[in-house]
Amino acid sequence: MVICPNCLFRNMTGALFCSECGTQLIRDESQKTGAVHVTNGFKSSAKTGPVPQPASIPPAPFTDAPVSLNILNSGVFLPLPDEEEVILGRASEGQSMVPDINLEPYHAFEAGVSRIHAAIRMVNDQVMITDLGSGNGTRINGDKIEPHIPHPIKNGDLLNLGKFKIQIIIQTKAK
Amino acid sequence: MPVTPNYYDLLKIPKDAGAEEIRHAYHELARVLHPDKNPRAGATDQFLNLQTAYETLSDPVRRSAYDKKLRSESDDPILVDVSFSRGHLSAQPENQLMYVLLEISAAAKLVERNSPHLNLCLVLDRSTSMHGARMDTVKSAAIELIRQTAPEDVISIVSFSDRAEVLVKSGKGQERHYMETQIQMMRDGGGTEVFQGLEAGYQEVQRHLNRTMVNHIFMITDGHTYGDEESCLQLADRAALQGVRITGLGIGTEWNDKFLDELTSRTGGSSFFIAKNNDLHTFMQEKFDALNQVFAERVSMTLTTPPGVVLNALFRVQPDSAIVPLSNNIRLGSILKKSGLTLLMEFIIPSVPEDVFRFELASGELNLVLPFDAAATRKIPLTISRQVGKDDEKEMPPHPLFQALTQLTLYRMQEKASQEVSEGKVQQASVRLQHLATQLFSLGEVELAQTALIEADRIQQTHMLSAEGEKQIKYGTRSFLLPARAREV
Repeated sequence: MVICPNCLFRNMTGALFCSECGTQLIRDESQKTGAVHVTNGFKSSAKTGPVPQPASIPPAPFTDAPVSLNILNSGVFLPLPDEEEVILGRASEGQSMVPDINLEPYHAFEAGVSRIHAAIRMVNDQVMITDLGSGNGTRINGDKIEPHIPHPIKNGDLLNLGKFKIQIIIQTKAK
Repeated sequence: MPVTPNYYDLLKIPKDAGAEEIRHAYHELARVLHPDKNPRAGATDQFLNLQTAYETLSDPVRRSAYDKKLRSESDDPILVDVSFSRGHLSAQPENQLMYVLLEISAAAKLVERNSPHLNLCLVLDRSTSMHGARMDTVKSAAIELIRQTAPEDVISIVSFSDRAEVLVKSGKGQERHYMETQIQMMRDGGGTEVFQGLEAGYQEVQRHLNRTMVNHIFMITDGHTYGDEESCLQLADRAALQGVRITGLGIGTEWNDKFLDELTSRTGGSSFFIAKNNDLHTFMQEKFDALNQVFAERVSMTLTTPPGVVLNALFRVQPDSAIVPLSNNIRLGSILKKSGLTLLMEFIIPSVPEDVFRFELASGELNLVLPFDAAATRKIPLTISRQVGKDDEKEMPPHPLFQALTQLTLYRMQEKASQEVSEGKVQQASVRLQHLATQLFSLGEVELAQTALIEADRIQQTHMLSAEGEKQIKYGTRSFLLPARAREV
């Protein structure tokens, strides 16, 4: 059995894609960078222990975060800290202002992410994204947004920071 | 055929045998054939052959060189390559999946053969809805196509609304000017009764039916046909038995894609969605070129699976990607000279015991006709089996298989979403389309992904898909990874 890391659907052994949500269940190990595992927060505690297979890790530890980022092409889920404003960008040496979420481990530079690229804000239960005048712009579901103007985003929306692709996952809190 | 049996036959193992299997087979045979135990004449030679076979196949480098040599020495006009999504089936009591890619291709030395001539009928919809630019586009596309036919090709043209007219009777070397005038004189008017057009077209093709030719009907329509679906399907079955394939081109959004798919696939053909009038030229040209690339026609497959094993889906990757309906005799269309015929199969396998080396998924045969040597129907036996064991590491499946499966996965998501809409499961369908959009975005298919998102929203509001969006996603997901498309870009 293969459990989908995205929707937790139980696929048959031998499945390569989740039959519910289409997520790829097998990754090219040769192309994966070590950094992804480290930032994933699942680094094996035993030094010599085997690296866990991402396909078999359910995102259970993340489910408390109201907003998470699904970093496409890497299969990594990043929960956002429960704060009013979170800045997305990439950290580089000698930089005074550091983004809250550093996308550099996922090859953000190559994908054209600015150091300070966009902000995600929670306004009265509505999640908004603002492009902070980034070099390569921000797109919501393929549509480029005006910089410095907050735009609403909803669960499942696709964000492009430059060429960097993120799917936004919003968990509605049980009231 | 080579006089000495090939090493695989000698060791009595399948072409995809793994190291363990090869060693096992060798030891078994070596015990029997060893000269010490086997004093009869020739035994030593046999044993030495076995030795060479084992040494060759157990060395990956020598084995791949040997496979290449076997391939180039083969006298078979058709080669079948089988690849699998996994090295082994797992020994486990639960159901599991295995994907199998069949790449069927023409032998290299036969590719340069002259193409078979065409026995082609154009069946053109002239119902009222075709009025205006649409009709003009069809006319000019038809004329363009006629101009490219060879004098030896048999051509006929039929137009239809709620009745059919034969514009050009089937025959060779007809005067082009006459054919073009006949097309130009077409006037729109009347309803759409596909059966009328199809039957007239079939009769024209039948008059020159010949196994040495590519017998084909090109139908262009833009509307729903009412009440005659069943007779159309019966006609398609008859056409299939005679080796006549039907290609359906649907213009606009009002035609019934499920019906046209069913109709064409029964003959081994396929249907296509023409969203804009301008695309018609490109599509017709593409399909016409494919007809001129035919190496084998009337390709069909019979396949039986052992108890419990299910062939769950069959996807033709190339040419004309489509889900192929399963039956006792699966019609697959044609094998093209350069690009062959590629099929992706999904097997569901029940409990696999631990004490077997190999597990059979299916066996059967491919049947086909080579138009340049059409006397006999060729039969190619097929056995699909896989070793049982553990895969050492998570290895990526072969790239062509993976790519085909990507396409199949997305196509099925679309299919599920539209099924869910029809069952009133609005929320599920909407979420599924959003998932589909995610996958399409990550593959760089921005336009198609946006269409999926728009439809996901629309479902929430109207509980329906738009006719256009549904067709765009359906035909888009089934063809976006095609090499033909990549060439255009």
